[in-house]
Amino acid sequence: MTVTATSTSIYTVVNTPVTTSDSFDLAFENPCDDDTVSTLTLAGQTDPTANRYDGQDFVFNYVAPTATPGLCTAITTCQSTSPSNSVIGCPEIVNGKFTLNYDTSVYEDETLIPGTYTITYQVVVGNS
Amino acid sequence: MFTYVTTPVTHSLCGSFSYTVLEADDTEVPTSAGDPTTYNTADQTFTFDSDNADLDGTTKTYTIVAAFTNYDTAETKETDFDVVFIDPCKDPFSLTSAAQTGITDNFSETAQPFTLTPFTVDPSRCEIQYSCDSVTKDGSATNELDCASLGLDGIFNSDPTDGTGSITATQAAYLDGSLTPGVFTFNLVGTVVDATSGVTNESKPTTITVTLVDPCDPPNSVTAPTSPAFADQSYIITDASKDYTHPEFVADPSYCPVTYTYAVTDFTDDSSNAASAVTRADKTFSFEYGADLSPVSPTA
Repeated sequence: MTVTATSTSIYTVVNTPVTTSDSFDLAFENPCDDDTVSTLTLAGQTDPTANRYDGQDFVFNYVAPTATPGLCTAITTCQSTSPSNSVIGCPEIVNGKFTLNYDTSVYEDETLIPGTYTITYQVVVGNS
Repeated sequence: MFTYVTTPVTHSLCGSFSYTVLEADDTEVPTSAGDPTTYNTADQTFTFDSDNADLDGTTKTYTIVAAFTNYDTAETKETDFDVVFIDPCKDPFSLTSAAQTGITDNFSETAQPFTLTPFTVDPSRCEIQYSCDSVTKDGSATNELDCASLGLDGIFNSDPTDGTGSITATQAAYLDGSLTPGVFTFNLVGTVVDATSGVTNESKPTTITVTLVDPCDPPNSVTAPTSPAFADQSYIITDASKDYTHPEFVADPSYCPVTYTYAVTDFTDDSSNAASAVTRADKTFSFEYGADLSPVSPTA
C-alpha cells in the first residue's frame, strides 16, 4: 500500500507541489496454518459390524471432523493399523468411507486372522 | 543712480562718484565673496548668495553712500534699500524622490525592518516629512495591510526611529486568510514641510514594495513519518476487520497542508476476478477478507 503525501499552498499555486511517498506491506496469513486461529472438532465414529469372512463388502462410514474457519478443511490420513496386517493395510478414507471385503481365503492362509483391528487416522486442518 | 547738479553752469568738472555700501551696523559690504551680499565696485552690481538659514524670512537694509571720488571732503549722499531673504524651502529649487529598498518575507513571524532612503532636496536643509498615502496589493485596493501596518516614522526629528518601519507577517494571519501572499505597494509621499502649497517641488511620491512569499508554494519539504514510521501489517484471512491508521507526513513549514493519495494493490480471487481486501477512510485502512484463500501467498 503506497501513500503519497502532497503539500502545497491553500492560496494560488504557482510552483510545483512537493510530494513524498511511503508504503507498507500487507501480508495475508492463512488461518488454516495457525492453530491459534483454526479449530478441529472430532466426531464420534461408529465401528463397522463384525465381519465373518463372508466375501461381502463391509463399509466404514467416516463421520468427518469439523474444521474452522470454514475456509479450512479437515484432512484425514491413515496412520496405522494395529495389530499391523498386510491384508488390511492402512485404508484411506475416500469420499467419507472405506470398504473392506474378505472371504475365507485370508482366513485359511492365516494372513488375516480373526481379531479386532484398530485403524488410527490423523486429522489435521488444511486448506479447503 | 546718483547724479549731481551744478548751477548756474552745468558741468561735470567735479568728476565721478565713488560708492560704498554699508550694512545696517555700518560695516562695509564686501566687494568679493560676501555672504549674503557682495558689492562689485567695478560694475556697481550686487550679488546676493547665501546658504545661511538664519536669514530666512529676514530683511536686511543696506545703505549706499556716494562720494566724489576726487573731493573727499565734499558732501556725501546716502540712500537705503532693503533686501528680503525669502525662505527657499517655501519653493525648493528641486526635490527628487528616491527608490526604496523593499521588504521580502515569508510569514516568518519576524519583524522585517524598513529604512527609508531620504529624498534629495535643494536646499538640503529643507525638512521633508514622509507619509503613507495608500496601500495596494498586486495593483488593487486591499485591506490586508494598511498604512499603519508599516509603522513608518516619517518625521525626522532625531528620534532613533526616524525613517524606519517594519512589517510582521504572522503564520496565524496566513492561515486565517487575513494576510495572504502577494506584492503590497505602500504609496508614500515626501513633502517639504515649509513648501507653499502648490509649488512644483512641494512633494514627490515613492513606493515601498512588500513582497510576502507563500511559504507553502512550495513548502521546503514533506517528510515521511519516522516516529512512528509506517509499519508493515499482517491480516489473517477470515479475521474480523483490522484497522491501521498511517502516521502523518510532516511538511516544513508544519502549517502547510498535506493531502494524501493512495494506491492499493488488488489481487485475483479464486474466481479469477479482481478483488481487494482493503478499504480506507481518511488515513485509516481496514483489512478484511474471507471469501477464499486466494490472497494468502502474495503480499499486496
